[in-house]
Amino acid sequence: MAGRGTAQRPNGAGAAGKICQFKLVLLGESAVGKSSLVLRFVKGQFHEYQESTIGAAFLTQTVCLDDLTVKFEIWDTAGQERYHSLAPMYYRGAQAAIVVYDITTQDTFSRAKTWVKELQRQASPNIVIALAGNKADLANGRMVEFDEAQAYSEENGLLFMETSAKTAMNVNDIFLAIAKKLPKNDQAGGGAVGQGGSGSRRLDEGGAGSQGSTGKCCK
Amino acid sequence: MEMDLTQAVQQNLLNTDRCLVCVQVAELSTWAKTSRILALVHHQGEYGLFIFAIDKSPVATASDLSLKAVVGIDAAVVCDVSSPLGIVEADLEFKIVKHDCTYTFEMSIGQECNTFVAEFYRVLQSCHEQYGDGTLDFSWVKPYGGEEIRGSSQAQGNQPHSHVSLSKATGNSASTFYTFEDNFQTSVPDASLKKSSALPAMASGGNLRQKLEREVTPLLRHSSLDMMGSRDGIIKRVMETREDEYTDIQTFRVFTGTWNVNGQPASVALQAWLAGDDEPPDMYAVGFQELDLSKEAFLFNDSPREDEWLQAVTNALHRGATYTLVRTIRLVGMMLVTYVAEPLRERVIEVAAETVGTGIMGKMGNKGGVAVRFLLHNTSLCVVNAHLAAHTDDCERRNQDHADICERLRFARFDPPLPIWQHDVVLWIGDLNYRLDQLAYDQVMLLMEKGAFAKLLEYDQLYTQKKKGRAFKTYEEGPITFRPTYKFDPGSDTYDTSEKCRVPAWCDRVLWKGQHVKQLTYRSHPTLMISDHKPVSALFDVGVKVVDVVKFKRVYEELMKQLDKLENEYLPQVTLDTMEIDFDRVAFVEPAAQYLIVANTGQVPVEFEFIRKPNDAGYCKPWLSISPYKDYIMPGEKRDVKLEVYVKAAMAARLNAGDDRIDDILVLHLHGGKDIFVTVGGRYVPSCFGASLQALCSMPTPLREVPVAQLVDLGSPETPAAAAAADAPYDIPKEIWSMLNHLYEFGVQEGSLFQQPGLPSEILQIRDVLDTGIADSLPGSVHSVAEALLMFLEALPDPVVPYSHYQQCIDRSRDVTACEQLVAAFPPCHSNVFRYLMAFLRTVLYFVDRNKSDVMESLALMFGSILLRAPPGVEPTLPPRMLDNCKATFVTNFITE
Ligand SMILES: Nc1nc2c(ncn2[C@@H]2O[C@H](COP(=O)(O)OP(=O)(O)OP(=O)(O)O)[C@@H](O)[C@H]2O)c(=O)[nH]1
Ligand SMILES: [Mg+2]
Repeated sequence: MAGRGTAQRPNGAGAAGKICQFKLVLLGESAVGKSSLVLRFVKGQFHEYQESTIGAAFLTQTVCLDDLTVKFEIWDTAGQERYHSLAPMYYRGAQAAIVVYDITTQDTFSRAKTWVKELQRQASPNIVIALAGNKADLANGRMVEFDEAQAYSEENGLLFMETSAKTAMNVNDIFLAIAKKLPKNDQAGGGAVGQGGSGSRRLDEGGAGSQGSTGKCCK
Repeated sequence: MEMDLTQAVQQNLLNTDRCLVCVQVAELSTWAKTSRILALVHHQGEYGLFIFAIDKSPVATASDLSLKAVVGIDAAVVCDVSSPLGIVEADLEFKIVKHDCTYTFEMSIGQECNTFVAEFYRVLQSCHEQYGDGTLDFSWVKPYGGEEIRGSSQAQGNQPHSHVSLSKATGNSASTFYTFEDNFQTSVPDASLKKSSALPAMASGGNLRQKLEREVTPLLRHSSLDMMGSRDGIIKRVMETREDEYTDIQTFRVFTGTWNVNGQPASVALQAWLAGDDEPPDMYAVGFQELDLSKEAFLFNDSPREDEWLQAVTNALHRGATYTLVRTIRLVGMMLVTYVAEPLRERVIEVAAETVGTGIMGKMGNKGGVAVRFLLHNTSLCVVNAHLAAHTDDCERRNQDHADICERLRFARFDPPLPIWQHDVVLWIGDLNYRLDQLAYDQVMLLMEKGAFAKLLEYDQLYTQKKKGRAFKTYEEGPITFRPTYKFDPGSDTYDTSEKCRVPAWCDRVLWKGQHVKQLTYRSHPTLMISDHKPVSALFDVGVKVVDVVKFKRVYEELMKQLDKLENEYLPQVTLDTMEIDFDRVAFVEPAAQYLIVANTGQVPVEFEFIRKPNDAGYCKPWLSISPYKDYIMPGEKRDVKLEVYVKAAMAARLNAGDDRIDDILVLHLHGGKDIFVTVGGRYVPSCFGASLQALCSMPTPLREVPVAQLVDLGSPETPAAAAAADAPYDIPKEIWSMLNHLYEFGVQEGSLFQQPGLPSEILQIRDVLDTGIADSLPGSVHSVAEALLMFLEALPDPVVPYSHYQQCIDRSRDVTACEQLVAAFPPCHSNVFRYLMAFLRTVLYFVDRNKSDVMESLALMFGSILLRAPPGVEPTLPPRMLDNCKATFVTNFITE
């Protein structure tokens, strides 16, 4: 039991090797279940009465892939229309976005499509976008057909899954799918995880990230 | 040249001791705080905390420091780090307790402090691991308070107070809390203490620091923010400490052999030594000494024997397995060869080899050690092959050689260079040269014949030195059941028959250190006779930590979860009493305030700030002000944030016209965390202040009686309602008439009109009377009415001198006739108001009896700036002073007699 931690020791399994950090934003109309998805993903919980988000909530969550670890910095935005103009603060510089709709409401799907358009126009060009048809547990009240959303996603190069924050269906999966799809080439990122960790995550300074940068990767 | 602190400390140390890391702190006692330098000092595997007083600040040279006390670090030392109140920004309290002595230091948080504390903990931990609960005597500390320092202070004989004594802080003799009396500060340490400089390890000290900064900083309590920065380091660290959970101990057989071949060529087969067992070992570590006694080997470290012996070993390895050479290393006559069985090849990584010479000048390689280290699966293994000083009487020299190798042998490919003791398993083989003391040749032979090895061992120097803790203290050795391996007549099995008739001895030994190591055999091999030594071997079962990938992943993911949880828990968190602030009724120049209570309901201090939204000029609309708009809040505390609306003249027109509303979303940002949106709303009460001249002229009734829709229409000249108003019922707005009339009746004779401010409350009353028409006469003093008039003119959406005419009026301000023509060309209500105002100012001036020209000048300046305003977005063509003069000149044209 001599002192440890000074020599580099790759502990056999490679998973510990590399950590990539990505900014992910959730967008979509109010009450489609953005916060619920995050709550399910990060804490494994679901609240029947989830308060509407007034602001932009921030949480982190790590997922382990076979060969590397992806750390998400998740921004859960406010879906209410009156806050729409503030959304760019949060998707700017994001490397990934989940656009959420509620399969029981057609309007939320239309709104999701306009979010996708806005992201395609204004967000960083290599942003990975996933479309989540949430509340899949309420299949009885379905108003948006799976095939329709699937076809739309294919056309637009989006990841697509129907999810349920309530039953946890596909929740981890959609984040995992994003993690896998994110580009992880070292050169593009450069910055170390957390970069000094001053903790400043002020968004209007994140603008530089929108110039097509990919994830921050490190070894 | 500025001196690095470490360097300054180093120069106060003896040659054998090295400052690993140091930091400036304040020592806290009941009555004072004193600046100190804490230095962690290393001496041959032992550590001390050196406390220096600072005689001169900033520390520029070694003599600016003087040693106050030394705390020897062993298991008796207890250390506690805390930060008061859990405040991140605060200083750290670093407390050291040994026996009944306590030192408390305050360090300001930063990298240096983190590095120091982290390194201190590391050392403390390794001391616990190395020495268990035993206490050390720290005799090496004595010179710092002993002869040399005393000598130097005596040299300054005329200073009786500079006598230095080393006093123990406690009566307990086991304690190693040395303190030097305070007056020690006045003495200058002897130069001999400073002769050590530029140790090669100085550079590695720097690396060490960097490395620790990266890795261990976040382990400090209360530094949740730092945590994110070095998550990587923590992960590594924690995974290492949890190694047991994802590794299984798998046993591998390790063969170690050592032979002093006395410079003989490799002329014999070695199977009897290396492959005598049924089962093939998984690993071989074979060491030679005196492989080559030639001058070339000694001077140029070049030997043809190397290949010869390597070949001989390779040929003699066990046939039951295929072996791969891991690494050979040679220094003059010392060579170490390591092999692993084929299936393990993939599992051996981070291979490194290093040599240390301890021969003549502490350098030459005729004596010393060579070592190979690597990771076998997850266990770090180090094999040292040493040849220590010869001769029976040089026992102390051998101890010293051992200590030197321990201290100086560091695997340089690691950062910081990795010492021997930082390995899970160390196997130490070689011709250690320890002899049998006190016994004559015959006595030894007798005991040997009887097979009384245990008795004989009591005279073995290594046995006795080890027992006294003077060498190989932390190593184990198996019982010796073979005859001494030295000294034989070469080519025979007979002990030395030469005239020297050397007493037989167990020069050739195998020792080990580490967990899960079990010695199976410890033998000599007398059939090999070419040398004056017999080869020795020891067979071990070594338990090696093998990673279970599935378990590893589980532990790793669990750790990730924990860190995520921790990180999310320590995010800044606040609760607001409301997220909607309603000002209800907001009126012109009528301030209103509301409070927002921001409570820190999280676990960390919060820095909040209202931040700017994209496309906005500021963090809030101009009619709102927030104070404080940024601040810190400690956990459990609250801050009242005052939001205040105040609609000034410049904003009134847009609010009146509905181009702007009392409506805003504020973004309250928590540094390092989330954002909260706060909505601010209110209902603006339209007023004649901020209405256009056009609209007011066409309104027969007070403004409040006009429906809002019509009000908005009247404001913009393009609409039909405004066109209809062109032939307005009034020449000038009745509000202006009413104010001027009031001033004319009650104020013109007051010499100081327009030179004194009004009362805000009266101005509000005046505003209400004008808007509602409830009273015939205006309330308040003439000064309030005068100020209301100015505000009224300032709030006009299109100034009295219309934007469309502004530039011409400026350009031609010196031309009286041109100015008169320009005024005539204003829209009628504008020229009417302008003329009316000018006439009034002339009347005012008429009643001024003293300093008439000064008053005129100031009125011209004041009205100039209000009546002539540049259209929004137009860059001024003149410097501000000249522009003001032009405006004043324009007005002056009309108010001079
Ligand atoms: N049945 C069902 N209900 C859900 C699901 N996800 C969310 N909900 C419910 O839908 C409501 C709204 O969910 P939120 O997570 O607050 O929605 P949001 O998208 O964050 O809304 P905003 O914060 O206003 O933008 C809550 O009452 C949730 O309990 C789901 O998968 N199934
Ligand atoms: Mg929400």
